[in-house]
Amino acid sequence: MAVNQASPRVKPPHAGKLQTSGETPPRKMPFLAKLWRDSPLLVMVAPTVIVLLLFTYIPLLGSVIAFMDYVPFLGFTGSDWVGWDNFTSLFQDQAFWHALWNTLQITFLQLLLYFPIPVLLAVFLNTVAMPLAKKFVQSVIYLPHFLSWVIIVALFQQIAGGAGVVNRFLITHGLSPFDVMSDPGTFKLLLTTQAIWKDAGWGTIIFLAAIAAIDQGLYESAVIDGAGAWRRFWHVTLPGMRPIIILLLILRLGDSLTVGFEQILLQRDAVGPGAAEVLDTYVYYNGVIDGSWGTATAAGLLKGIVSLLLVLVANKLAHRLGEEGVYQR
Amino acid sequence: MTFQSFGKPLSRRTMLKGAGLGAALVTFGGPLAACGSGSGGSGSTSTAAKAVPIPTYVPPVKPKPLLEGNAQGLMDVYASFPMDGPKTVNEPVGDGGEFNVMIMTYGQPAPPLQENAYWQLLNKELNLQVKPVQVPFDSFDQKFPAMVAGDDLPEVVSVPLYQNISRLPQLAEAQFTDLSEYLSGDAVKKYPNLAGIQEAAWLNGYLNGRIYGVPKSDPVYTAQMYTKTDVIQAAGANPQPKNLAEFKELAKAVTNAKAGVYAFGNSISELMQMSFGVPNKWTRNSDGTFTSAYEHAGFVAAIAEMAGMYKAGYFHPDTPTMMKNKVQRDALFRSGKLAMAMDGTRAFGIVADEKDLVVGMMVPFEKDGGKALYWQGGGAYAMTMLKKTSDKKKVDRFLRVLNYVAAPFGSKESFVMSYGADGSDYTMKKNVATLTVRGQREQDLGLAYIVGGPQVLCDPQGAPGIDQANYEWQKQVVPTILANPAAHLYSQTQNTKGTSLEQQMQDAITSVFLGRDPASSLTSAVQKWKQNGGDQIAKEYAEAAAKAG
Repeated sequence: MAVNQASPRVKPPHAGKLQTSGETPPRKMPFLAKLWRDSPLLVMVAPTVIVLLLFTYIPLLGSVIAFMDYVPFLGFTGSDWVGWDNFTSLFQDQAFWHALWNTLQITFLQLLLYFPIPVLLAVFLNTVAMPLAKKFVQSVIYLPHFLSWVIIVALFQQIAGGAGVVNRFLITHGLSPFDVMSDPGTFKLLLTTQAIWKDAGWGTIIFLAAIAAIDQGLYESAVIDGAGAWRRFWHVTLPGMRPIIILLLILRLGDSLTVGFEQILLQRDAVGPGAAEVLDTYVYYNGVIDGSWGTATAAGLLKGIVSLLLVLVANKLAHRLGEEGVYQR
Repeated sequence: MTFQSFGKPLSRRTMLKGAGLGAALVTFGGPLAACGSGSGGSGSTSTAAKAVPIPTYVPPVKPKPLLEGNAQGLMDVYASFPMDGPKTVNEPVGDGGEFNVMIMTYGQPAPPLQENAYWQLLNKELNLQVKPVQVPFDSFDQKFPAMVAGDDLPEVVSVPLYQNISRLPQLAEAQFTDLSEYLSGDAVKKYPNLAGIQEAAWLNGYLNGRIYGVPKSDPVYTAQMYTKTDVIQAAGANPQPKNLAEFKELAKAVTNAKAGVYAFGNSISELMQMSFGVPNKWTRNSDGTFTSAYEHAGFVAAIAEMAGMYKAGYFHPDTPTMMKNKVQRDALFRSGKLAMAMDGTRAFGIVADEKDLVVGMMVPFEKDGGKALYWQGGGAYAMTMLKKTSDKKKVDRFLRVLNYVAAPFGSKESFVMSYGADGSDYTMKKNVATLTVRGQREQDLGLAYIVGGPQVLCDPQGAPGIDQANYEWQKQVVPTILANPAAHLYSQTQNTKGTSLEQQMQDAITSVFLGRDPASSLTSAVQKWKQNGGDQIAKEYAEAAAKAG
């Protein structure tokens, strides 16, 4: 999905065409004619729009729950309106702030440690000359993406857990074992490591596409000008990838309050909520399990609004810096 | 198999799962986790004062047991299922229609109807098309709320009481049938096998003061501490400590990290608290006020003691991740890598089940060797409800089905429920009905979980003498059981906030247990618990108790 959104923008000269086609010719064309002209595109975009409507926009209406003491079996009509009470109790709940803080910490860690890795991997992959070797490496690093979190967590547990391979070895040889799987202090690093192992390879796809779109002529000119490998990377590859990196960074910011529900839920008990309660698990335990749908929805709504603001602000910033951002002005 | 409930057969496999159940119960070892125990959560707490009389108890005819139980909750022991029992259901049960029932299960789904002789036989006996909607125990707490929210509940819903369902009384009122007029007082006599269910179990079926659920009885005690006697003896230790010091010696002696053998694999908080004399969830003081067990002096001390043992290395290194992984824990226990396992009563299955397993049950001790106490269970494991209907015929059909399923141990119907079809599900060996592997597997249908009277011990296929051993254990424990005075009292705060309050306490206990926080943090956790609702709950219980007299 991200690939679709992004790829047209890799080549700036053509990128604007679709969006701007409505503006560029002075709006003489009647609406119906425009509709007819754009119909193939509209048909193509229709399935996505329908899916978005059905599964994103219509459910958004359910956000009114945030202002109700919602009881599922009483429904929207039977539940009481409580105004801002849910938000008040949310803000008064220490656990909520704690979950928010944990979420931000994890986001920051992942931004710092996880985000650059696919970029670097893509650059390295791009330098592999043998197509066969490149394909092989790509296949290997894509694979973990298709494993579910349950399996990945179990793998880590089998290897690094309290009774995992490593610790068994240490214990049988009289050395003192270590425990990364249930140490709250390092839990966030563990999460990031798991995320890197699982998805860093998969994340290279979009960057590889960006690199592939860079005009080879630029490299040739650079070589003629006497640029070495590093210079070529710095002055050609990196600027070529920049729009996509910034785009993904902005989108990631929008997701910054979402840090992997399943992965954390699976390991929350091992380290306790002190280290592992994030907004999503907070919503889950308070809403789904506890039946406080109102408060949970309030938390979810808040999360959505903050995410939207982050994206808008980041995008604005990108525009200021002369980048394209998520959309063009 | 294990506890045959009076009637329903918990097949050996069922038991396994049952084990799961237990697991679930004790996972956090919190006091409350235990199903019955105060089942803080469940039925008990959400129950309002009785507005309609308890269904009249008519003791079922029972075959002569090998060892006689008693009314306090000691179970009868039978060497094998009596083959000459009475028929208790003489009228047709169903109408040939569908019977959709949600059941929480612990094992794999039962084989499909076409391949399932047991299921086919049940359909024939009940004259129904039984369609179980099986919900695995480990996803129940997610799936049930989703089914409620999506209005997807089937016609009949069976809810394990240890699963805290928030606002259950309101849910029942909105969505389920008030069964009071059919069951209260003498009305229940129309369904004689339901009349064989005792008051302690029925109390769990009350919501808003009226009868909404038909219960499945549970043992009178809560969890049990199972000991792998052969492992313990090989280590030269005593499997039956008389005080805390001996208990710690035992744990130390059996732990052998190099060999991968550890004393425990999950929280033993209940056992520790009981040995420190912590009451069963609540105490009713002489002035009528209620005090939480969390405020008892022994509570923090007991958890601190357990944390000390964790620190000393007596717990399996995977304990933090294993607390919710019952399957792994059971496997370790069976293979002798864990010397002891604290688990819910149904976990007896893991022991009674295997002929070659050398196991015992630890009789509770007091930390200084004084008089021990044991927490009483809530009286029922589950209750089964019917979606709201005013059609009396539908209600009658529902109750007739439950009446069949609840047939007491020894009856013909109970035999069908326990053993299924002759030849495919069981064979006769020396006049003892013996379940085949297929028979054990096919019972994963789960109907055994939905309703029933008192349980008995009858495990002819289990380890020799295991039932007698359990009987002896019960004989010592049953007289020491301590009731939860708040059981079956209603508190609005408990009903709406109880689950999350409890979760916070369990999290705090776990943190101390695993050494993340000092024991002193529990004191502030209890303070927080009191402020956030605990005090309010105590007040509401006191009012409810005063009203109930």
